[in-house]
Amino acid sequence: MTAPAWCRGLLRLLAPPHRREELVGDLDEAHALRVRRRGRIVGTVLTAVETLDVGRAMLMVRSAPGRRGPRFAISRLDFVLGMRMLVRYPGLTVLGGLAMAFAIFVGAGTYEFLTQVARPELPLPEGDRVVGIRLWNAAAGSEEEQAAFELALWQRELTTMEAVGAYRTARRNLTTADGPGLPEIVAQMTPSGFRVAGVAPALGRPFTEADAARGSKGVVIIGHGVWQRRFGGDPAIIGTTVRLGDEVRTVVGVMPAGFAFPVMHGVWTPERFGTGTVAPGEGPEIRVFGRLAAHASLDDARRELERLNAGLAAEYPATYQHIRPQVTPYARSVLGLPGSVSGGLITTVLMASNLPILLFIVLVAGNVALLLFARAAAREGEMVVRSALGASRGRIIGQLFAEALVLATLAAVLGLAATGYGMRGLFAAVEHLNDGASLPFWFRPGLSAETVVYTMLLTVLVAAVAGGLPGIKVTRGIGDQLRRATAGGGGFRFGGIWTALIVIQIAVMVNVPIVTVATRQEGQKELLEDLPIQGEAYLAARLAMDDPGVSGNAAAADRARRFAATLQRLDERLTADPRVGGVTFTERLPREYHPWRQIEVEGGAAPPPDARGHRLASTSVAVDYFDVMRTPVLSGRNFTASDPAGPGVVIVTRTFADRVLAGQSPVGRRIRYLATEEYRDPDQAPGPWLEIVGVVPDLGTRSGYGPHGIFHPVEPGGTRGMNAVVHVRSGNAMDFAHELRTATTALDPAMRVAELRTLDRVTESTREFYDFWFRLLVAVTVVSLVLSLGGVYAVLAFTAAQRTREIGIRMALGSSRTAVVRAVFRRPFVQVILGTAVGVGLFPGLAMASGGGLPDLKWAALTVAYFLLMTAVCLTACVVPTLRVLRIAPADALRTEG
Amino acid sequence: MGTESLAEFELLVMLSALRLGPEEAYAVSIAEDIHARTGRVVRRANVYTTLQRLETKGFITSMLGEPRAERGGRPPRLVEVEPAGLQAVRATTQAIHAMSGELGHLLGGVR
Repeated sequence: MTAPAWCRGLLRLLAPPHRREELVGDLDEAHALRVRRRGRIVGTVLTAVETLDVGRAMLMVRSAPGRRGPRFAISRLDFVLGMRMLVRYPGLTVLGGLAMAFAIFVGAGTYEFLTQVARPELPLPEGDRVVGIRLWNAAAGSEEEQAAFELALWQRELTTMEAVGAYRTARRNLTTADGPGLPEIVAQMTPSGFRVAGVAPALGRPFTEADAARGSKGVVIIGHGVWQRRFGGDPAIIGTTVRLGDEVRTVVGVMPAGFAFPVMHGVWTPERFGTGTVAPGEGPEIRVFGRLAAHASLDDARRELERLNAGLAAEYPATYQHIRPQVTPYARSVLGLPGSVSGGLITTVLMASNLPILLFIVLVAGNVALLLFARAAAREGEMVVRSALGASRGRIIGQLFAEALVLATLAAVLGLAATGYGMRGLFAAVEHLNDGASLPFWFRPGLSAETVVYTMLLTVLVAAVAGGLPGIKVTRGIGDQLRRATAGGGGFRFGGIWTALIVIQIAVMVNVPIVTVATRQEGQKELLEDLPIQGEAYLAARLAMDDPGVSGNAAAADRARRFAATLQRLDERLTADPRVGGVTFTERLPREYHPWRQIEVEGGAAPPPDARGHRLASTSVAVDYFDVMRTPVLSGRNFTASDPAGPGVVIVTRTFADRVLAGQSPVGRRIRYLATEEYRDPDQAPGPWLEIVGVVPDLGTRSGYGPHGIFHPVEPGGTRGMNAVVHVRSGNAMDFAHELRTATTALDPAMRVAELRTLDRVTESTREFYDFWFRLLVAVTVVSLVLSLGGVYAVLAFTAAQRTREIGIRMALGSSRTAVVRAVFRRPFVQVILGTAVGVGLFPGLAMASGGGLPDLKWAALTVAYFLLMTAVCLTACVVPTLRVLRIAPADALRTEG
Repeated sequence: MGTESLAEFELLVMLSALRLGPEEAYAVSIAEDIHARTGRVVRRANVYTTLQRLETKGFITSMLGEPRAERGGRPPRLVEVEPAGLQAVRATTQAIHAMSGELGHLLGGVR
């Protein structure tokens, strides 16, 4: 076992060249010992700490007396001094600390997220031995999921796997004796699945092969979450019967907390896909996984699979000519990464994705460096004296680095805490968006040891930039300072780089809030589009029927008939309730995202907005949709009962007439769909002509291209899933949710009810997601703002300190206060004006680049107002240093300098 | 000129190097040995700087050993105690014995 790659890399970097190999060997050996004793996580953290410690020692060794080059050295006293500095300069501590904490928060959060995606670790016993196996059709460039035949072969023949299994996912209503039927994510899995996972039930037993045999009594295993949520953690759950969709099953086991193998499943039923009677390329679509045998590697398994495949190709050449079996680490197989993607490539992509974040962090650290430089400049006398007493340049740089490291460490603690909190928030948001389904079980909301270690590295990087750069700058030419013996005499200068940094930063800062607000407004414009209905009076629910479990057109037709019949009976049953004003069905709800399609209008249409033509949203609705929604037909006619089965007719929204037909009446005109660009199929033939029979107000057909949409008539149940919309006459429509769920599952236990909400809350979760990003952007804005103000303040404070003697002389010679203020103000004022002017100049370009076109007059006025505000805010930062300058007594100034 | 004596940690490192012998004494094994025998947590960084100091003083010499599998095929830097080093260890331990010899009743089993 070797130490983490970055530890070895860092040590190579810091060690003297002739000692690199032995030190890396020591590191690997010590890491292996530590992991054996303390476990992987603690061992890795300790190795990281030790790497930094040994690296520091090597720096000391390299800068030992007698060696050439700068002597970089840090002592404990430097850290004590660093802590004193935190207290002595509270403003800088708060400002610099918060900025660094934010940078570390962004860096650590990004790294944690990316590593969880790109290098997942399965929280299963020896999880790195669990693999995914799939059949890749090289000719079609796609995966062949009908692998039941191969599954039976692999289970029988593979010696490099100690267990091979498969699953497929289904959503089923789980109905308990005293509760309603609620949908759960079910893994129909081979009994070997639990052996592959290496986890046994916490209660009861796992599946046996007999459980999966056809005709056996139905059993089910439930997850810890389902056990707690649906059964109150009943310890006598084993042996209880539950209804799962159409079937009654006996609970035989409860899995431990956190177990959701294969992906995010909470309920398991036994299946035997590979019966040996299935022909190649037939049977259900499944996903196959396995656990490598103790003696076997991934490459061994690949070779054995290829050997078996060669045998199949000889026996069934037509079927297996282009089939290539692939075996990859399990999580990667679930994410669908091609087998050819190597671990090295993933790491490269990971690092490349981190690069912009690292640049951001360096930028923030550079700003803090500006502040620390101003502080170091104020301590110029101390530096010169230390240099006179024999401190080398490296020693002084080391001291400033240590001081910055103290600040950065505090910031890292804060940043890491924020990252942990942010990760939990992000996971909760994703879960909310994903209709309660969590992320794959190997994603965890906490922080990994690797991220903690990475953060430690970031901390050193931030400290190196924030403390090292000012150190190098301050100590440059310190010998001249010493010779001139002008303690406090103003030998340090802000160079052009600092000035450019401030100007660029203000320019960016001017734009960030504008872009933030614009993004929010654009994102929410359609989400908050006014609806001509009282959304809170309508209860909506997504209805879907369980998959039949067997493939084939006949089974699908049966299922569709059953779905339609159930919706019909549901309609009758709910309409009979006096509280209900009407029941209707729609493929998509108002304000939900509707996929767009490109259309052609017979006889020509108004010029489209661009070369890609008119793009519109479309949806299918029941013929009584507009009646129940209390939406009048503005012209033409409403749908009739015969429309779904008759020749193609559609109803369009009012905006359709305005945008597509330039205000002409659409009734009687004909349209047809062209190739749908969303699916990029240029060979797709145009659809049949459809006659427009009516016009209705805009009704939330949101596609991202405007509110113009098209409605198709459909029989309830005519699409795979449908939304029921219930108009509740009085009170809160959500109060009717229980009745809707109970009535639906009572009519058919295989009918799943999900996403119960009122129509005014359809886009709530999306809005919350936008809000999350908005808050993040606001945080970036605030940090940029505070840092910029801090930079301006630092420049002024520094200027004032540097010019103490000059100002004293000017005042003594009778110079007016106004003249002094003007002299001090000139530089930061120019920087602020220049920065904001550049920023405002950038804005139209940014607006056009983001596809929004040139900003209108309102935006221009707002930008000018914002420009004035920013100038005022920045100049406010100049007040304190200016007052300090004006308080300088000429005699004091001259005495200090003398 | 008398023999230079050793600081406490230097003495522990020298004793460990003597105990492990020239075929097995290197930074990791010395740190492990001291930890196993004294129970104190040893920072390997300190072992490196101490070994370098001892080598500068001429008490030890070091050279790369054979590559080892458990180290990813990398060799350890093996340490051998020189006669001057052995003399320094003797002088230091004798000084300790001389000072602690009559304090057995206070120091218990430590002599």
